[in-house]
Amino acid sequence: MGVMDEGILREFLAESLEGLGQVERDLVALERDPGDVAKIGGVFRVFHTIKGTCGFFGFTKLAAVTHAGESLLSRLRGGERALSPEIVNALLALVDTVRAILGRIESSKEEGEGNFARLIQRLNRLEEEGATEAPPAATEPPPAPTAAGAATEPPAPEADTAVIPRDGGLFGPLIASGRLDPEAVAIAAQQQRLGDPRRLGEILVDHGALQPQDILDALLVRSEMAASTLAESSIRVDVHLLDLLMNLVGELVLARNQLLQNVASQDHADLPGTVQRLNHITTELQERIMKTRMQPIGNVCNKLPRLVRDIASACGKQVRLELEGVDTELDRTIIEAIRDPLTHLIRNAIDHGIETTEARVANGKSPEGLLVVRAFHEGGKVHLEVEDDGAGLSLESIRERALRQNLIPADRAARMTERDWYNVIFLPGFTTAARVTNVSGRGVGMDVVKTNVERIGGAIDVDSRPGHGTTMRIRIPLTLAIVPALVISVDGERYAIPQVNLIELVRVERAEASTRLVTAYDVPVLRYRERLLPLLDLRAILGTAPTPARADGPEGDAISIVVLHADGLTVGLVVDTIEASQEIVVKPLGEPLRQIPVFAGATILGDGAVALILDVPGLARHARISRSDGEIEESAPAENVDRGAMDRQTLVVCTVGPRWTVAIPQTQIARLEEFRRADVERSGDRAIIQYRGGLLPLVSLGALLDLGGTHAATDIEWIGDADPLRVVVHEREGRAVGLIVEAVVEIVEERVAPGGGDASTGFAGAVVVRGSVTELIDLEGLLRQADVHRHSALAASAEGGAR
Amino acid sequence: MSEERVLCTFRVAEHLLGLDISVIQEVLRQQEITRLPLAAPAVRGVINLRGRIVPALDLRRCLDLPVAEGGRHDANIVAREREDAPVSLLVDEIGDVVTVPLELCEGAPETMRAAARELIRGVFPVHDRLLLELDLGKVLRVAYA
Repeated sequence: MGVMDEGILREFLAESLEGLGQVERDLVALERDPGDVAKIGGVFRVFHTIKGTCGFFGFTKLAAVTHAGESLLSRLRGGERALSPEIVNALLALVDTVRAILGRIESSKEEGEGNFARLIQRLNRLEEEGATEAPPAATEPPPAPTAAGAATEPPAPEADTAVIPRDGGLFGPLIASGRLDPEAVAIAAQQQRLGDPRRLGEILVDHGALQPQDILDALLVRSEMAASTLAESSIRVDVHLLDLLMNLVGELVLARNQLLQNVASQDHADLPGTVQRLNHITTELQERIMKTRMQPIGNVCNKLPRLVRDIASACGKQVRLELEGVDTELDRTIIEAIRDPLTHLIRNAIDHGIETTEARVANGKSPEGLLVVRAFHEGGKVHLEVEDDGAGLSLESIRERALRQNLIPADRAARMTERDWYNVIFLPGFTTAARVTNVSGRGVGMDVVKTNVERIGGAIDVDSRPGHGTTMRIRIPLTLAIVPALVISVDGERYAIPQVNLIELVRVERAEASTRLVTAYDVPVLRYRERLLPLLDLRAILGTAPTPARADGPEGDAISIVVLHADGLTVGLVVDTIEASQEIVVKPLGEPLRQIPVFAGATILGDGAVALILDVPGLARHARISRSDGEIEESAPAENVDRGAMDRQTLVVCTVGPRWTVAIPQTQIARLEEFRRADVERSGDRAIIQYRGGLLPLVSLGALLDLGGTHAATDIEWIGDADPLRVVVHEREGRAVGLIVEAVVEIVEERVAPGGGDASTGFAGAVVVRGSVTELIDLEGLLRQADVHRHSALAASAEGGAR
Repeated sequence: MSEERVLCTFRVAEHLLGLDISVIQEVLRQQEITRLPLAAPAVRGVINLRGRIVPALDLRRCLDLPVAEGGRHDANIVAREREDAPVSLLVDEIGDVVTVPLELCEGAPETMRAAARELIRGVFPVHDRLLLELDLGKVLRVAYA
């Protein structure tokens, strides 16, 4: 095959797979609303296109099966034939078969040896028969399935289409490959309708129509199809976005040239400007590139309707799926990573969560179970929820099993809350399923889901109301490639800690170390918010100097402790210095080094040096701090807790530039104002504005921080072109100055640890706002250092005069 | 015409060592190494190779030789067993690229320690010295063990 043909073939495969995905969703939707002619038309067109292109490549078998489907669909489209569950099943089997053929073509460029005569026969038969039947309304009994030609079938006991059992799409490929007789399926289906509680597969095996191995194979094939690679290996990117990227790269080259020129000519006057430009270009480039990798979560969710339908029918249950927020975007690496956990949760919800139709009716619920998969952004994270309205988790059964399997020591069990108990389902080795079913309960439990979610920096928890259902909540970061992190150091070696694990930074002054640092059960602990927090000494763990953390531990006038959370455990990590909070690019350690449990990867810092990224769960495991050690927190409340060290303060959180957020104590802010850009006046090279009968000098806070507070920050050039200007007004001794920020994000109340910063630079330290470290600004120190007040003397006298 | 092998040579302690030129990616001057705690002793750390994190292996450790005074190495040889997995080998001094006829290949000298002999693929007399060709695959397995 020529290079050009190869390209066309890839395109054909990608388009066909995409089309089949849509067909699958449409068919499942049509099953609920058979009257949607537009959808039937869409399905028809997909098969028509595949068939047409087959001629070009000479794929005769694929052409034959799609032709059979196409003619059946043209009857449906013309209204000559009504859509029955039987037809939906056959068409879904066709989708599976076509997908399998496409998969074979992708790997071997051949259609393979499969014989699809039975599937074609089945489609043809459906096309010819029942041309006279009227289309059923959703509430009426569906036309009796006719595949077996069994005319004696009684109507289904419930007047609802969904009562008719389905083959779950599982048997389609089996029938297509000739290993299963479609008539046997119809007979088994009838037997099931007549009250046989077993699954179709069980009945078929019992009848000798199918070997158990066949079912397993079919399940395998289906899961492989779900993981079909071709459609996922390419993404669509908006051409406009691509143009923007190209433009930005052009700008980047210009900035580099300028920089080289600056350096070559020893002319450093322009350097700050060039660097600033480079900074902006890089930031924007980063954001745009990220944008190209962002994909709607719908790319995963699109496969769910079929999955839910198949699992539900395999379990003999009725389930309605609702998807919310499918256009929520996240990085494609994460989309890949959540596919399995999400599938597992859905499988569990249907198999174990939602009750059988009879049980639901007996409990006064709608016979149809409801499964909601919801995605939304909140707090810089993607939230994914899988909610069912099933029986909920049984606290008694969880407790009984956990104790019987010795997953939880009895003394600890006595102190656990209801929520703690629900989260026991995430422990390795735990299963609530009374019996192992085909669908779930094979020992691959919720602990795997939890591990997978945590691997991508996410968290999962469960909530349940007995009798009303269960909700699984997953919170995952937007991307894996670039994460906000805190850089710390011990003995001059720098390490990065992902901020997802970070709770807060605690600084214990040497003077109070003896009262706050104690030893409990041979573990050094910190008295921390009425609890005892187990401490890990990073220096000891990493072997720079093997001394355990103690009250008389590291030298210096204070001990820096990073409070971390991972795996349901809170620990304090003793470090030498807290350096900076920054976004890091995560790079993998090579394969052989990946086995070191305490590192999640490495990153390259601004100066080109490599810093290792700490893996917090691995760190805790390595230090053998287990959940049972974490108990100290709960069981031994500390006396004399030093509350003074952690004052709550009201903070105004603002952004001062792209991706730069700072917090300012509210006590330092007189007012928040908005000014029109047009009202800004020029005084020399400074910007001022008439304000409350006086003149208010304006300073860009971003420039002030960026340039380390040189006088140039007051320059009018830094004001930027935002309109309106958002201004934080700071007043002291009758003098006022307006600091321009990009936006005021929120006003929060947070605990602020004293110290940790350098007042002379205007940074009062760091504070954790909504889980991410934010720099705390000391306006007074910043302005004093920048000497802005002197420049504002004029304004002060003007304002004073006005009073 | 007899078969030949082209080796990139280097010195570690008093040994003249060589690696097949086909596994060599590049030769670097001393790089800043970030220590990798808890790794195998032969893994000295990682280096930043143009944005890629590459492990730095101490050949002295691998060959069971005494650790260099001050822990200093003069050069890094970046080699790769597989295209996508380069490693940096720390050596004392870079030598020449030499071509040796395969027919001169001998076994490792009896005087070498057993652990080190395992890693030798062949020994070639070059001028008045012995050039020991390393088996990169075996070196890596020993280093990560």
